[in-house]
Amino acid sequence: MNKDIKRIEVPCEEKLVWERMPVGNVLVGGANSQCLKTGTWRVQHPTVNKEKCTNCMTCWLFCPDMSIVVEKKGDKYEMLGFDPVHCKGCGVCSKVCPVNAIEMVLGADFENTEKPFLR
Amino acid sequence: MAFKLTELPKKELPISPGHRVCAGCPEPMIIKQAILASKEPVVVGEATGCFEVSSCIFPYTSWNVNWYHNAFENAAAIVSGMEAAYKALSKRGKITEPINFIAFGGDGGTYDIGFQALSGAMERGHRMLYICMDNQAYMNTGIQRSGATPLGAWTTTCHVGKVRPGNVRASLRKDIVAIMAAHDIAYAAQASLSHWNDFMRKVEKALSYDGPSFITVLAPCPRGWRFPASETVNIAKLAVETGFWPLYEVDNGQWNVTFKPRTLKPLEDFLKTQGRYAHLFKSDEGKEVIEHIKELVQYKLNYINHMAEATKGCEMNIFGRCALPDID
Amino acid sequence: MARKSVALTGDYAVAEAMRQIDPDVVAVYPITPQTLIVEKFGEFVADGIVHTEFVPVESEHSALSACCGASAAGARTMTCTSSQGLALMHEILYIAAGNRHPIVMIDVNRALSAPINIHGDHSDTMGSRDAGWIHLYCFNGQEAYDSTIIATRIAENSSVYLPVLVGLDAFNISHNTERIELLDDQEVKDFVGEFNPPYSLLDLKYPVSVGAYFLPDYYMEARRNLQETIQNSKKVIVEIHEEYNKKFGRNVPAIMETYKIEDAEYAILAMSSITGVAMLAADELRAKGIKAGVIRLRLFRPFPAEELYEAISNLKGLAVVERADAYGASCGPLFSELSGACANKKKMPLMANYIIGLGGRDVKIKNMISVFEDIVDNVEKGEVKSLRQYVDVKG
Repeated sequence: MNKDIKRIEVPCEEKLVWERMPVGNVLVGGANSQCLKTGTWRVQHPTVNKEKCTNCMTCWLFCPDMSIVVEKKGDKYEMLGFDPVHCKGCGVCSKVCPVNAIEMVLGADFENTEKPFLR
Repeated sequence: MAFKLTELPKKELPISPGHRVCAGCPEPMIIKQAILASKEPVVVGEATGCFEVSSCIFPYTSWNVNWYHNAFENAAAIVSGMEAAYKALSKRGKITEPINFIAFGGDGGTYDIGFQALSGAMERGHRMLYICMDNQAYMNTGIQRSGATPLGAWTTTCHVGKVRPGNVRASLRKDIVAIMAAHDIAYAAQASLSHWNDFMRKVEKALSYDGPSFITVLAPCPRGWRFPASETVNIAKLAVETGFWPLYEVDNGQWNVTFKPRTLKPLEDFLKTQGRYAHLFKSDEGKEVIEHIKELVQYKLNYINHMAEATKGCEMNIFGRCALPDID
Repeated sequence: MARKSVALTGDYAVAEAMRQIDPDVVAVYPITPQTLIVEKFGEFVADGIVHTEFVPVESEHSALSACCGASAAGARTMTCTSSQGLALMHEILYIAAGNRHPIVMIDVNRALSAPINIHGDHSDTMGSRDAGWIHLYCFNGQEAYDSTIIATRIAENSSVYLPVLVGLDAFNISHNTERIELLDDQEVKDFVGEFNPPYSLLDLKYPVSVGAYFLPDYYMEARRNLQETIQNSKKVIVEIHEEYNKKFGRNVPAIMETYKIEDAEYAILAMSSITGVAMLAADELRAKGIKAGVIRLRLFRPFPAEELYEAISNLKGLAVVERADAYGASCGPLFSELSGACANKKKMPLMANYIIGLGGRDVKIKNMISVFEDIVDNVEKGEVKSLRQYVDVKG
């Protein structure tokens, strides 16, 4: 394999000029679309009642935008909340949760863009 | 082997957020489940379609696995080329790790324009899995009818108008699983993203065979089927529970129903959730079409049940396929 | 196996070259007159002489698609086709060039339908000339053999990484037996070397995404980049030809071959096997005292504008004879390429376009003589009455 393969690092704000287009327009190095804030699309946002939540991971599996934040605590995974930068507010999580721990609330809640929000 | 949901987050997700599909789109759910079900690393070939176009808009990509998009009708052909390259390079000792090849295509790129490439790839026996994300119309170009559009549905090329009542056809839809099974491949199945354990088990089984395999997965589209974005998984579940989308597999020629609902819910429960069928509830001709759809759904279920009956406990032929007994 | 001379058809010579190159993947679909290549190579595969993964696909479209997939996965890929097959894979031609897959395709130049015709002319490759592939046209079976090996090196060169098309005329070259000097197997292997791909789908270290969707904000940059790449490839093409000729004592011209052009006043510009007939015609005219010469253009893409202009600038009259026409245009493709490239030149010969040999129509010496005489006549009169003429048509 070509040992000179370089990661293409394109920060979200930079513009590529024609001389620097990668060979074959190939994007190397894995996903870099996280910089696109699809969270600005939503008109409703999810909230979770952590007392009802059993950390079953169903919402994590079904979320089309990979916006359920889970973290390893010991040897199990815990659902911490939602990714406000990317969550599109579709509401699938609220419909698949087997214990109805997730509720959709009107309003996009844009201010809270750094930490996952828990309500 | 059942998958434990609470242990799945151990694996790295194959796609990342920031892709631009509609809210509530089933395609990323299907792709996630399929690639998480593979133990070995996966290389993906995808046909032009909704997720392909939205997940890799230069210079951003949402793919964490190797991904190749070429054109609309050749997902199966490009993956067969990749698989041939893998075999060639492995023989020369340049590649040693096991890799699974998965081709993703919409129903357009599978049933219609991509049918030739799919049939050729299945016939040649490449070791690859083809997953069709079936949203029953050409959704990416604006909800036009395809070979997978069922009887009675509304699309923009079979509108509900003064002289035509939606999709008119003489069958429910193209039976792609039976066509693929007729290629004598090791594995062909129908699955649903709502029954994720069944789907992931099917993917695992398909990838374990040294040959081509095919799975079609129902992908309810909130935009094209006209329902609120949060209902995607519920509608997929209803499709299975009403018998509209039975879950079965043709495992080495043996037909098995992998999920049988205890009692079938009435088909109207499924049809009334979607705007693409709303016109059927508004007139007498529409109600007649609903009866036709019910009849065709039962016709298909009976076909699958008969095939399961006929191939139960069958002997294997020389290639390990189910051999039905001679009739004198 | 040392070098040896064998009697082979053009197709079989190409198959021998493919055997010696031993590509990783070959995905082909048969079409007359390329079938001999596929059949001979199939024999090599069946006898285990090559290590190639042979993929007998179900259409030419899938053939090039499978080659794209294999090439993206880091394999050395080759394929071959002709007329209708090339037309069927048309959309993938652009994709292969855009994705920079170094695929080598041998195209046996055959006429396009309708009317369906299986004999030689250049309409198939002329119809796909803008896809971004490098085009090389061969004079005879020996050159086809050499070109296949050279094309592999050109395609895989790290400043090129473009697909290459090698054209040979249907039946005149593909099915005619001539004496081919084959190189030694090891010599060819050493010359083509190992394939070092620009990226690979089977390299799990850095995930790659190939075939992104481009919005209007980046598409032009990608195309500008492709244009620059293919224009700069001319330098590399010349270097590799020089290396090949030096190493193996051959004389394969990189861009063009000229015949008695130094003091010529009238010349024919043509491609492929018909130039041989033009050379015989030029000899006859020289015997009559007319200073005739011939230019055989070999590299069509990237179009070698400067080199061609240098060759024609001192002529009085130039006849561009080609085996393809552009329907609805005022002149054939080669003529329009040349005229476009020389649009603002002050010193130009009087030029006329002659369409000859379509659909495998035999090209005779007397046809070429009539072309020469026509261009001489035009120059004497000081004007070109008809810009494009069809030669040897009934009626």
